[in-house]
Amino acid sequence: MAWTWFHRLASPPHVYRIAGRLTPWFAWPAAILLIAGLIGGLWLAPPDYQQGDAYRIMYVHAPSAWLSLMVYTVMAVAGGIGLIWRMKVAHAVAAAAAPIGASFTLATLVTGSLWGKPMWGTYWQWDPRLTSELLLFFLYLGYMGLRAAFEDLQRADRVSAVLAVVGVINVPIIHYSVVWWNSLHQGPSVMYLGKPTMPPSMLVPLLIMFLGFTLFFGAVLLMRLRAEVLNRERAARWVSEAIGGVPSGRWVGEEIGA
Amino acid sequence: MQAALPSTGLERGSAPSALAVARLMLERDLRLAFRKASQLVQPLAFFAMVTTLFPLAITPELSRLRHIASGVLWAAALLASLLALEFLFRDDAQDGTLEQYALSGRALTGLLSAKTAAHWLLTGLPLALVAPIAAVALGVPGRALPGILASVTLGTVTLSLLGAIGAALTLGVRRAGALLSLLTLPLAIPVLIFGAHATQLAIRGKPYGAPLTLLAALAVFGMTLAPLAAAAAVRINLE
Amino acid sequence: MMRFLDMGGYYPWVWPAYAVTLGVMGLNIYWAKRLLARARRAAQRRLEMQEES
Repeated sequence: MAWTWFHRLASPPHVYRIAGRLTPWFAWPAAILLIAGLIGGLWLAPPDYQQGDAYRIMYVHAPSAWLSLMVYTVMAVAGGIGLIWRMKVAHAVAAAAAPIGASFTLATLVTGSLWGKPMWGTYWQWDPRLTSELLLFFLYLGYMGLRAAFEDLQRADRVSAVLAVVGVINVPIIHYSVVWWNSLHQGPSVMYLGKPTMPPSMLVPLLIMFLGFTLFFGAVLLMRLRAEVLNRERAARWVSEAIGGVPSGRWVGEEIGA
Repeated sequence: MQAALPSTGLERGSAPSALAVARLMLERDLRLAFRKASQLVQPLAFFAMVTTLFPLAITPELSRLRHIASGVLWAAALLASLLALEFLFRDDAQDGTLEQYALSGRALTGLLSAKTAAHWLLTGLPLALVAPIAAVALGVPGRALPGILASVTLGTVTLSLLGAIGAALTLGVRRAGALLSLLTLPLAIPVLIFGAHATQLAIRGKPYGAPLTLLAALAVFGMTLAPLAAAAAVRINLE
Repeated sequence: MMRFLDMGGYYPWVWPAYAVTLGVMGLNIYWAKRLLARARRAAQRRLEMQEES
Protein backbone atom coordinates (compact mmCIF):
# COMPACT_ATOMS: atom_id res chain seq x y z
CA MET A 1 0.00 0.00 0.00
CA ALA A 2 1.03 3.55 -0.60
CA TRP A 3 0.25 4.36 3.02
CA THR A 4 2.86 2.10 4.57
CA TRP A 5 5.73 4.48 3.91
CA PHE A 6 3.63 7.25 5.39
CA HIS A 7 3.05 5.35 8.59
CA ARG A 8 6.65 4.25 8.77
CA LEU A 9 7.63 7.86 8.39
CA ALA A 10 5.29 8.83 11.19
CA SER A 11 6.37 6.10 13.59
CA PRO A 12 7.89 7.54 16.77
CA PRO A 13 11.31 5.86 16.54
CA HIS A 14 11.70 6.99 12.99
CA VAL A 15 10.63 10.53 13.80
CA TYR A 16 12.96 10.66 16.77
CA ARG A 17 15.91 9.48 14.73
CA ILE A 18 15.24 11.59 11.67
CA ALA A 19 14.52 14.71 13.72
CA GLY A 20 17.82 14.26 15.52
CA ARG A 21 19.66 13.82 12.28
CA LEU A 22 17.96 16.78 10.60
CA THR A 23 18.43 19.28 13.43
CA PRO A 24 21.99 20.36 12.48
CA TRP A 25 20.91 20.73 8.86
CA PHE A 26 18.51 23.42 10.00
CA ALA A 27 20.55 24.86 12.84
CA TRP A 28 23.80 25.59 11.03
CA PRO A 29 22.34 27.24 7.92
CA ALA A 30 20.07 29.21 10.26
CA ALA A 31 23.07 30.42 12.27
CA ILE A 32 24.98 31.40 9.14
CA LEU A 33 22.00 33.16 7.58
CA LEU A 34 21.14 35.00 10.78
CA ILE A 35 24.69 36.29 11.14
CA ALA A 36 24.75 37.28 7.46
CA GLY A 37 21.38 38.98 7.84
CA LEU A 38 22.51 40.85 10.94
CA ILE A 39 25.63 42.13 9.19
CA GLY A 40 23.65 43.02 6.09
CA GLY A 41 20.80 44.66 7.94
CA LEU A 42 22.77 46.54 10.58
CA TRP A 43 25.90 47.41 8.68
CA LEU A 44 25.71 47.06 4.91
CA ALA A 45 22.20 48.29 4.19
CA PRO A 46 22.02 52.09 3.78
CA PRO A 47 19.89 54.21 6.13
CA ASP A 48 16.35 54.85 4.97
CA TYR A 49 15.77 58.31 3.52
CA GLN A 50 12.71 58.84 5.73
CA GLN A 51 13.23 56.74 8.82
CA GLY A 52 17.01 56.92 9.08
CA ASP A 53 18.43 53.96 10.95
CA ALA A 54 15.25 53.22 12.89
CA TYR A 55 13.92 51.12 10.01
CA ARG A 56 16.61 48.53 10.81
CA ILE A 57 14.22 47.19 13.45
CA MET A 58 12.35 45.79 10.46
CA TYR A 59 15.04 43.13 10.05
CA VAL A 60 13.99 41.48 13.29
CA HIS A 61 10.37 42.67 13.47
CA ALA A 62 9.11 41.47 10.09
CA PRO A 63 10.62 37.95 10.26
CA SER A 64 9.23 37.54 13.79
CA ALA A 65 5.80 38.57 12.56
CA TRP A 66 6.11 36.08 9.71
CA LEU A 67 7.01 33.30 12.15
CA SER A 68 4.13 34.20 14.46
CA LEU A 69 1.66 33.58 11.65
CA MET A 70 3.43 30.69 10.00
CA VAL A 71 3.82 28.78 13.26
CA TYR A 72 0.12 29.16 14.00
CA THR A 73 -0.66 27.76 10.57
CA VAL A 74 1.77 24.89 11.08
CA MET A 75 0.11 24.19 14.42
CA ALA A 76 -3.39 24.17 12.94
CA VAL A 77 -2.42 22.04 9.94
CA ALA A 78 -0.59 19.57 12.17
CA GLY A 79 -3.57 19.49 14.52
CA GLY A 80 -5.93 18.91 11.61
CA ILE A 81 -3.80 16.05 10.30
CA GLY A 82 -3.69 14.60 13.78
CA LEU A 83 -7.47 14.78 14.08
CA ILE A 84 -8.26 13.33 10.68
CA TRP A 85 -5.67 10.58 10.44
CA ARG A 86 -5.24 10.09 14.19
CA MET A 87 -1.53 10.62 13.83
CA LYS A 88 0.21 11.01 17.17
CA VAL A 89 3.28 12.57 15.66
CA ALA A 90 1.26 15.39 14.09
CA HIS A 91 -0.11 16.28 17.51
CA ALA A 92 3.43 16.23 18.87
CA VAL A 93 4.41 18.73 16.15
CA ALA A 94 1.54 21.01 17.16
CA ALA A 95 2.46 20.76 20.83
CA ALA A 96 6.08 21.52 20.04
CA ALA A 97 5.26 24.49 17.81
CA ALA A 98 2.95 26.46 20.13
CA PRO A 99 5.49 27.89 22.62
CA ILE A 100 7.85 28.86 19.80
CA GLY A 101 5.09 30.72 18.00
CA ALA A 102 3.93 32.46 21.16
CA SER A 103 7.47 33.63 21.95
CA PHE A 104 7.93 35.11 18.49
CA THR A 105 4.53 36.78 18.67
CA LEU A 106 5.68 38.44 21.87
CA ALA A 107 8.95 39.45 20.17
CA THR A 108 6.92 40.98 17.31
CA LEU A 109 4.87 43.01 19.76
CA VAL A 110 7.90 44.28 21.65
CA THR A 111 9.95 45.14 18.55
CA GLY A 112 6.89 46.70 16.95
CA SER A 113 6.32 49.03 19.86
CA LEU A 114 10.05 49.84 20.01
CA TRP A 115 9.79 50.79 16.37
CA GLY A 116 6.63 52.73 17.05
CA LYS A 117 8.22 55.04 19.60
CA PRO A 118 10.55 56.89 17.19
CA MET A 119 8.10 56.65 14.27
CA TRP A 120 4.75 57.42 15.89
CA GLY A 121 6.02 59.07 19.04
CA THR A 122 4.34 56.44 21.19
CA TYR A 123 5.14 52.88 22.17
CA TRP A 124 1.69 51.65 21.41
CA GLN A 125 -0.62 52.68 18.65
CA TRP A 126 -3.83 50.83 17.89
CA ASP A 127 -2.47 50.08 14.48
CA PRO A 128 -4.21 47.16 12.74
CA ARG A 129 -1.06 45.10 12.46
CA LEU A 130 -0.06 45.46 16.09
CA THR A 131 -3.63 44.93 17.25
CA SER A 132 -4.14 41.72 15.32
CA GLU A 133 -0.73 40.55 16.48
CA LEU A 134 -1.88 41.12 20.06
CA LEU A 135 -5.02 39.09 19.40
CA LEU A 136 -2.89 36.36 17.86
CA PHE A 137 -0.90 36.32 21.07
CA PHE A 138 -4.14 35.80 23.02
CA LEU A 139 -5.02 32.95 20.67
CA TYR A 140 -1.68 31.32 21.43
CA LEU A 141 -2.24 31.78 25.16
CA GLY A 142 -5.69 30.22 24.87
CA TYR A 143 -4.30 27.28 22.93
CA MET A 144 -1.55 26.61 25.43
CA GLY A 145 -3.94 27.13 28.33
CA LEU A 146 -6.39 24.63 26.93
CA ARG A 147 -3.63 22.11 26.30
CA ALA A 148 -2.38 22.49 29.84
CA ALA A 149 -5.87 22.08 31.32
CA PHE A 150 -6.09 18.38 30.47
CA GLU A 151 -4.32 15.62 32.32
CA ASP A 152 -4.88 13.12 29.56
CA LEU A 153 -2.39 13.87 26.81
CA GLN A 154 -4.43 12.35 24.01
CA ARG A 155 -7.47 14.37 24.91
CA ALA A 156 -5.36 17.52 25.25
CA ASP A 157 -3.96 16.85 21.78
CA ARG A 158 -7.30 16.42 20.09
CA VAL A 159 -9.24 19.16 21.90
CA SER A 160 -6.50 21.72 21.30
CA ALA A 161 -6.34 20.63 17.66
CA VAL A 162 -10.02 21.56 17.26
CA LEU A 163 -9.27 24.95 18.79
CA ALA A 164 -6.28 25.48 16.48
CA VAL A 165 -8.40 24.72 13.42
CA VAL A 166 -11.18 27.04 14.61
CA GLY A 167 -8.55 29.67 15.34
CA VAL A 168 -6.87 29.47 11.97
CA ILE A 169 -10.20 29.95 10.21
CA ASN A 170 -10.78 32.99 12.40
CA VAL A 171 -7.36 34.60 12.03
CA PRO A 172 -8.12 36.20 8.65
CA ILE A 173 -11.59 37.28 9.83
CA ILE A 174 -10.10 38.87 12.92
CA HIS A 175 -7.37 40.51 10.88
CA TYR A 176 -9.70 42.03 8.28
CA SER A 177 -12.19 43.19 10.87
CA VAL A 178 -9.36 44.93 12.71
CA VAL A 179 -8.16 46.54 9.48
CA TRP A 180 -11.73 47.67 8.77
CA TRP A 181 -12.11 48.99 12.31
CA ASN A 182 -8.85 50.88 12.05
CA SER A 183 -9.69 52.47 8.71
CA LEU A 184 -12.81 53.95 10.32
CA HIS A 185 -11.21 55.40 13.37
CA GLN A 186 -7.93 56.80 12.15
CA GLY A 187 -6.37 58.41 9.18
CA PRO A 188 -3.95 56.27 7.23
CA SER A 189 -1.29 55.10 9.64
CA VAL A 190 2.39 55.26 8.89
CA MET A 191 3.08 52.73 6.17
CA TYR A 192 6.36 51.38 7.27
CA LEU A 193 6.60 48.51 4.86
CA GLY A 194 4.56 50.05 2.11
CA LYS A 195 7.36 51.32 -0.06
CA PRO A 196 6.96 49.82 -3.50
CA THR A 197 10.63 49.63 -4.28
CA MET A 198 13.18 48.67 -1.72
CA PRO A 199 16.72 48.78 -3.09
CA PRO A 200 18.40 45.36 -3.18
CA SER A 201 20.88 46.39 -0.50
CA MET A 202 17.91 46.69 1.89
CA LEU A 203 15.81 43.85 0.51
CA VAL A 204 18.44 41.11 0.38
CA PRO A 205 19.24 41.20 4.11
CA LEU A 206 15.50 41.07 4.82
CA LEU A 207 15.04 37.99 2.65
CA ILE A 208 18.07 36.38 4.28
CA MET A 209 16.52 37.08 7.68
CA PHE A 210 13.20 35.58 6.65
CA LEU A 211 14.93 32.38 5.57
CA GLY A 212 17.16 32.37 8.64
CA PHE A 213 14.21 32.76 11.03
CA THR A 214 12.28 30.02 9.25
CA LEU A 215 15.19 27.59 9.46
CA PHE A 216 15.71 28.55 13.09
CA PHE A 217 12.10 27.64 13.78
CA GLY A 218 12.67 24.32 12.01
CA ALA A 219 15.68 23.53 14.19
CA VAL A 220 13.95 24.38 17.47
CA LEU A 221 10.79 22.58 16.39
CA LEU A 222 12.77 19.41 15.68
CA MET A 223 14.41 19.53 19.09
CA ARG A 224 11.11 20.03 20.87
CA LEU A 225 9.51 17.38 18.69
CA ARG A 226 12.06 14.80 19.87
CA ALA A 227 11.27 15.66 23.47
CA GLU A 228 7.52 15.41 22.81
CA VAL A 229 7.90 12.05 21.07
CA LEU A 230 9.94 10.70 23.98
CA ASN A 231 7.43 11.92 26.52
CA ARG A 232 4.55 10.34 24.67
CA GLU A 233 6.19 6.97 24.35
CA ARG A 234 5.71 4.67 27.28
CA ALA A 235 7.94 1.64 27.66
CA ALA A 236 8.92 1.15 24.08
CA ARG A 237 12.10 -0.68 23.34
CA TRP A 238 13.28 1.85 20.82
CA VAL A 239 13.46 4.43 23.59
CA SER A 240 16.20 2.50 25.34
CA GLU A 241 18.09 2.27 22.11
CA ALA A 242 17.50 5.89 21.28
CA ILE A 243 18.75 7.30 24.55
CA GLY A 244 21.43 4.65 24.91
CA GLY A 245 20.66 4.01 28.55
CA VAL A 246 19.63 0.50 29.37
CA PRO A 247 21.17 -2.01 26.97
CA SER A 248 18.52 -3.16 24.58
CA GLY A 249 17.27 -6.69 24.40
CA ARG A 250 17.36 -7.37 28.12
CA TRP A 251 13.65 -7.01 28.35
CA VAL A 252 10.96 -7.06 25.83
CA GLY A 253 8.88 -3.95 25.64
CA GLU A 254 6.07 -3.30 23.27
CA GLU A 255 7.28 -1.80 20.10
CA ILE A 256 4.96 0.84 18.86
CA GLY A 257 4.61 1.74 15.27
CA ALA A 258 7.42 -0.44 13.98
CA MET B 1 -31.52 4.60 11.78
CA GLN B 2 -30.93 1.34 13.57
CA ALA B 3 -30.97 2.69 17.10
CA ALA B 4 -34.47 3.48 18.25
CA LEU B 5 -34.66 6.74 20.11
CA PRO B 6 -35.71 6.50 23.74
CA SER B 7 -39.18 7.94 24.38
CA THR B 8 -39.19 10.92 22.10
CA GLY B 9 -42.88 11.41 22.59
CA LEU B 10 -43.48 10.84 18.92
CA GLU B 11 -45.57 8.05 17.44
CA ARG B 12 -43.97 4.65 17.47
CA GLY B 13 -42.43 2.89 14.51
CA SER B 14 -41.50 5.89 12.44
CA ALA B 15 -38.12 7.46 13.09
CA PRO B 16 -38.57 11.16 13.83
CA SER B 17 -37.01 13.57 11.42
CA ALA B 18 -33.93 15.51 12.41
CA LEU B 19 -35.98 18.66 12.57
CA ALA B 20 -38.48 17.10 14.96
CA VAL B 21 -35.68 15.94 17.21
CA ALA B 22 -34.14 19.38 17.18
CA ARG B 23 -37.51 20.90 18.11
CA LEU B 24 -37.91 18.47 20.99
CA MET B 25 -34.46 19.32 22.21
CA LEU B 26 -35.20 23.01 22.02
CA GLU B 27 -38.44 22.59 23.96
CA ARG B 28 -36.76 20.48 26.60
CA ASP B 29 -33.95 22.97 27.14
CA LEU B 30 -36.35 25.89 27.37
CA ARG B 31 -38.57 24.05 29.82
CA LEU B 32 -35.60 23.09 32.00
CA ALA B 33 -34.28 26.64 31.95
CA PHE B 34 -37.57 28.17 33.03
CA ARG B 35 -37.54 25.90 36.07
CA LYS B 36 -34.31 27.52 37.14
CA ALA B 37 -35.20 31.13 36.54
CA SER B 38 -32.24 32.48 38.50
CA GLN B 39 -29.86 31.24 35.81
CA LEU B 40 -31.86 33.23 33.29
CA VAL B 41 -31.84 36.43 35.25
CA GLN B 42 -28.21 36.38 36.32
CA PRO B 43 -26.63 37.35 32.98
CA LEU B 44 -29.17 40.16 32.58
CA ALA B 45 -28.49 41.48 36.04
CA PHE B 46 -24.78 41.27 35.31
CA PHE B 47 -25.27 43.19 32.08
CA ALA B 48 -27.23 45.92 33.88
CA MET B 49 -24.62 46.06 36.63
CA VAL B 50 -21.66 46.43 34.24
CA THR B 51 -23.53 49.13 32.33
CA THR B 52 -24.06 50.97 35.59
CA LEU B 53 -20.35 50.92 36.36
CA PHE B 54 -19.47 53.23 33.49
CA PRO B 55 -21.50 56.31 34.45
CA LEU B 56 -20.24 55.88 37.99
CA ALA B 57 -16.63 55.47 36.90
CA ILE B 58 -16.51 58.06 34.12
CA THR B 59 -19.21 60.70 34.24
CA PRO B 60 -22.94 61.05 34.82
CA GLU B 61 -23.22 63.55 31.94
CA LEU B 62 -25.48 62.01 29.32
CA SER B 63 -23.91 64.05 26.52
CA ARG B 64 -20.55 62.38 27.20
CA LEU B 65 -21.95 58.95 27.97
CA ARG B 66 -23.66 58.95 24.60
CA HIS B 67 -20.24 58.88 22.92
CA ILE B 68 -19.08 55.77 24.72
CA ALA B 69 -22.49 54.07 24.88
CA SER B 70 -21.82 51.66 21.99
CA GLY B 71 -18.59 50.45 23.55
CA VAL B 72 -20.15 50.10 26.98
CA LEU B 73 -23.12 48.14 25.66
CA TRP B 74 -21.02 45.75 23.65
CA ALA B 75 -18.37 45.14 26.26
CA ALA B 76 -21.13 44.45 28.79
CA ALA B 77 -23.02 42.20 26.38
CA LEU B 78 -19.85 40.25 25.60
CA LEU B 79 -19.09 39.70 29.27
CA ALA B 80 -22.68 38.80 30.12
CA SER B 81 -22.89 36.22 27.36
CA LEU B 82 -19.59 34.72 28.55
CA LEU B 83 -21.00 34.38 32.03
CA ALA B 84 -23.82 32.16 30.83
CA LEU B 85 -21.64 29.88 28.75
CA GLU B 86 -20.42 27.62 31.48
CA PHE B 87 -23.90 26.23 31.96
CA LEU B 88 -24.41 25.53 28.28
CA PHE B 89 -23.37 21.87 28.27
CA ARG B 90 -22.35 21.38 31.88
CA ASP B 91 -25.52 19.85 33.35
CA ASP B 92 -26.09 17.59 30.39
CA ALA B 93 -22.49 16.42 30.52
CA GLN B 94 -22.62 15.71 34.24
CA ASP B 95 -25.77 13.60 34.26
CA GLY B 96 -24.76 11.70 31.12
CA THR B 97 -27.44 13.16 28.86
CA LEU B 98 -24.85 14.44 26.46
CA GLU B 99 -23.33 11.00 26.16
CA GLN B 100 -26.74 9.58 25.30
CA TYR B 101 -27.09 12.19 22.57
CA ALA B 102 -23.72 11.24 21.18
CA LEU B 103 -24.67 7.56 21.18
CA SER B 104 -28.18 8.12 19.85
CA GLY B 105 -27.09 7.70 16.25
CA ARG B 106 -28.47 11.13 15.49
CA ALA B 107 -26.20 13.79 14.06
CA LEU B 108 -24.62 15.46 17.07
CA THR B 109 -24.27 18.68 15.09
CA GLY B 110 -28.03 19.01 14.82
CA LEU B 111 -28.58 18.36 18.51
CA LEU B 112 -25.89 20.84 19.50
CA SER B 113 -27.34 23.40 17.10
CA ALA B 114 -30.68 23.04 18.87
CA LYS B 115 -29.02 23.43 22.26
CA THR B 116 -27.16 26.50 21.03
CA ALA B 117 -30.40 27.95 19.68
CA ALA B 118 -32.02 27.40 23.07
CA HIS B 119 -29.08 29.07 24.74
CA TRP B 120 -29.42 32.07 22.45
CA LEU B 121 -33.14 32.31 23.13
CA LEU B 122 -32.44 32.22 26.84
CA THR B 123 -29.50 34.62 27.03
CA GLY B 124 -28.84 36.36 23.70
CA LEU B 125 -32.37 37.44 22.96
CA PRO B 126 -33.08 38.78 26.47
CA LEU B 127 -29.81 40.71 26.28
CA ALA B 128 -30.86 42.18 22.95
CA LEU B 129 -34.19 43.22 24.47
CA VAL B 130 -32.55 44.79 27.50
CA ALA B 131 -29.79 46.56 25.55
CA PRO B 132 -32.06 49.36 24.21
CA ILE B 133 -33.23 50.10 27.75
CA ALA B 134 -29.62 50.33 28.93
CA ALA B 135 -28.91 52.50 25.89
CA VAL B 136 -31.61 54.98 26.90
CA ALA B 137 -30.06 55.14 30.35
CA LEU B 138 -26.78 56.08 28.66
CA GLY B 139 -28.37 59.03 26.89
CA VAL B 140 -28.89 57.41 23.51
CA PRO B 141 -31.69 59.04 21.49
CA GLY B 142 -34.79 56.96 20.79
CA ARG B 143 -34.30 56.81 17.03
CA ALA B 144 -31.15 54.70 17.56
CA LEU B 145 -32.96 51.93 19.42
CA PRO B 146 -34.05 49.80 16.43
CA GLY B 147 -30.46 49.73 15.23
CA ILE B 148 -29.21 48.71 18.65
CA LEU B 149 -31.85 46.00 18.95
CA ALA B 150 -30.97 44.63 15.49
CA SER B 151 -27.21 44.67 16.00
CA VAL B 152 -27.27 43.09 19.46
CA THR B 153 -29.74 40.45 18.23
CA LEU B 154 -27.51 39.47 15.32
CA GLY B 155 -24.30 39.76 17.31
CA THR B 156 -25.45 37.55 20.16
CA VAL B 157 -26.26 34.78 17.66
CA THR B 158 -22.57 34.59 16.75
CA LEU B 159 -21.55 34.95 20.38
CA SER B 160 -23.72 31.95 21.32
CA LEU B 161 -22.23 29.90 18.49
CA LEU B 162 -18.65 30.78 19.41
CA GLY B 163 -19.54 30.14 23.01
CA ALA B 164 -20.82 26.69 22.11
CA ILE B 165 -17.38 25.89 20.67
CA GLY B 166 -15.66 27.21 23.77
CA ALA B 167 -17.99 25.37 26.14
CA ALA B 168 -17.56 22.14 24.17
CA LEU B 169 -13.78 22.46 24.21
CA THR B 170 -13.62 23.00 27.96
CA LEU B 171 -16.21 20.35 28.78
CA GLY B 172 -13.64 18.13 30.45
CA VAL B 173 -11.99 20.94 32.38
CA ARG B 174 -12.86 21.70 35.96
CA ARG B 175 -13.20 25.40 36.80
CA ALA B 176 -13.13 26.37 33.16
CA GLY B 177 -14.32 29.96 33.65
CA ALA B 178 -11.15 31.96 33.00
CA LEU B 179 -9.94 29.57 30.32
CA LEU B 180 -13.30 29.77 28.57
CA SER B 181 -13.02 33.57 28.39
CA LEU B 182 -9.46 33.37 27.14
CA LEU B 183 -10.55 31.02 24.35
CA THR B 184 -13.74 32.78 23.34
CA LEU B 185 -12.95 36.48 23.56
CA PRO B 186 -10.32 36.71 20.79
CA LEU B 187 -12.68 34.86 18.48
CA ALA B 188 -15.46 37.30 19.37
CA ILE B 189 -13.48 40.39 18.37
CA PRO B 190 -15.05 40.70 14.88
CA VAL B 191 -18.53 40.63 16.47
CA LEU B 192 -17.47 43.33 18.88
CA ILE B 193 -16.03 45.52 16.12
CA PHE B 194 -18.96 45.28 13.73
CA GLY B 195 -21.58 45.36 16.47
CA ALA B 196 -20.14 48.38 18.24
CA HIS B 197 -19.74 50.17 14.94
CA ALA B 198 -23.33 49.51 13.87
CA THR B 199 -24.48 50.76 17.27
CA GLN B 200 -22.33 53.85 17.00
CA LEU B 201 -23.70 54.68 13.56
CA ALA B 202 -27.25 54.16 14.81
CA ILE B 203 -26.61 56.54 17.72
CA ARG B 204 -25.28 59.17 15.33
CA GLY B 205 -28.32 58.72 13.12
CA LYS B 206 -26.33 57.45 10.16
CA PRO B 207 -27.14 54.40 8.02
CA TYR B 208 -25.81 51.29 9.72
CA GLY B 209 -26.63 48.70 7.06
CA ALA B 210 -23.03 47.82 6.19
CA PRO B 211 -21.83 46.63 9.61
CA LEU B 212 -25.20 44.99 10.21
CA THR B 213 -24.77 42.98 7.02
CA LEU B 214 -21.31 41.94 8.15
CA LEU B 215 -22.75 40.86 11.50
CA ALA B 216 -25.35 38.79 9.66
CA ALA B 217 -22.61 37.26 7.52
CA LEU B 218 -20.68 36.29 10.63
CA ALA B 219 -23.82 34.73 12.11
CA VAL B 220 -24.48 32.66 8.98
CA PHE B 221 -20.84 31.61 8.78
CA GLY B 222 -20.94 30.63 12.43
CA MET B 223 -24.17 28.66 11.98
CA THR B 224 -22.61 26.54 9.27
CA LEU B 225 -19.27 25.80 10.92
CA ALA B 226 -19.57 26.23 14.69
CA PRO B 227 -21.82 23.18 15.32
CA LEU B 228 -19.29 21.00 13.47
CA ALA B 229 -16.44 22.17 15.68
CA ALA B 230 -18.57 21.91 18.82
CA ALA B 231 -19.66 18.38 17.92
CA ALA B 232 -16.06 17.32 17.29
CA ALA B 233 -15.00 18.77 20.64
CA VAL B 234 -17.90 17.15 22.51
CA ARG B 235 -17.09 13.74 21.03
CA ILE B 236 -13.45 14.04 22.01
CA ASN B 237 -14.34 15.10 25.52
CA LEU B 238 -16.79 12.23 25.96
CA GLU B 239 -14.37 9.54 24.84
CA MET C 1 32.29 52.46 15.28
CA MET C 2 30.60 55.04 17.48
CA ARG C 3 28.51 56.09 14.51
CA PHE C 4 27.44 52.49 14.09
CA LEU C 5 26.46 52.13 17.74
CA ASP C 6 24.62 55.43 17.62
CA MET C 7 22.32 54.22 14.82
CA GLY C 8 21.69 57.76 13.66
CA GLY C 9 20.38 58.63 17.11
CA TYR C 10 17.91 55.75 17.14
CA TYR C 11 20.08 53.52 19.34
CA PRO C 12 17.61 53.47 22.30
CA TRP C 13 15.13 51.59 20.14
CA VAL C 14 17.17 49.70 17.58
CA TRP C 15 19.45 47.88 20.02
CA PRO C 16 16.75 46.81 22.48
CA ALA C 17 14.70 45.48 19.56
CA TYR C 18 17.62 43.35 18.43
CA ALA C 19 18.38 42.33 21.99
CA VAL C 20 14.79 41.21 22.58
CA THR C 21 14.66 39.18 19.39
CA LEU C 22 18.01 37.52 19.97
CA GLY C 23 16.99 36.94 23.58
CA VAL C 24 13.82 35.19 22.46
CA MET C 25 15.87 33.05 20.09
CA GLY C 26 18.34 32.19 22.82
CA LEU C 27 15.58 31.28 25.23
CA ASN C 28 13.97 29.11 22.57
CA ILE C 29 17.19 27.17 22.16
CA TYR C 30 17.67 26.90 25.90
CA TRP C 31 14.10 25.74 26.55
CA ALA C 32 14.21 23.21 23.75
CA LYS C 33 17.49 21.77 25.04
CA ARG C 34 16.20 21.60 28.58
CA LEU C 35 12.97 19.96 27.46
CA LEU C 36 14.86 17.33 25.51
CA ALA C 37 17.25 16.64 28.38
CA ARG C 38 14.32 16.26 30.77
CA ALA C 39 12.47 13.96 28.41
CA ARG C 40 15.56 11.79 28.14
CA ARG C 41 16.00 11.63 31.89
CA ALA C 42 12.34 10.78 32.40
CA ALA C 43 12.51 8.05 29.77
CA GLN C 44 15.64 6.65 31.40
CA ARG C 45 13.94 6.54 34.79
CA ARG C 46 10.94 4.80 33.31
CA LEU C 47 13.16 2.18 31.74
CA GLU C 48 15.06 1.57 34.97
CA MET C 49 11.87 1.21 36.96
CA GLN C 50 10.59 -1.26 34.44
CA GLU C 51 13.77 -3.28 34.69
CA GLU C 52 13.49 -3.51 38.46
CA SER C 53 9.93 -4.64 38.46
